[in-house]
Amino acid sequence: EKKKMQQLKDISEDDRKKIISSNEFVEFIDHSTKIVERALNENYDYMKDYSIIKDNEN
Amino acid sequence: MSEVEVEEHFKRLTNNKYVEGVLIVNEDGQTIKSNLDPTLNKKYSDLITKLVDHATTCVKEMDETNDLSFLRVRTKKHEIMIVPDKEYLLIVIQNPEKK
Repeated sequence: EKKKMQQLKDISEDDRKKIISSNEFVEFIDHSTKIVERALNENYDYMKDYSIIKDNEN
Repeated sequence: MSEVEVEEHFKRLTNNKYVEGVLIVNEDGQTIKSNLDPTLNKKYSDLITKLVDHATTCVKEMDETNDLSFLRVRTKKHEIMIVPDKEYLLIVIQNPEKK
């Protein structure tokens, strides 16, 4: 119930700025964007060949 | 300095040609940063926060010493990549079709 209430409210601009400049947040961004970038750089689309076959069947 | 760093990381993702959306939300689903329009942003953050809650609980219940570290959801149109942390979630929507 408490969580629902909080979800309805947007975070204030001040709080947002505080978070963005916090060490924890900077560390999180550094770490998480690296993981995603590595995943984005995988050039192999592992679904591709199978989705083509499936599309032809339909 | 740190804010510049955050901005750089964020821009690097949003500038990627496969990336259609990037959002960073806190554990309550409130948006810290996003490049989506407000309506889509609200929809995605609400729904994905729920999905991550389920996945986190699932992993914990299978083995309480374990933790969710990365979640990829492949759909017909997109792939959603989610990096969860104690307080924040990074959500990246990519279009792998362009590859």
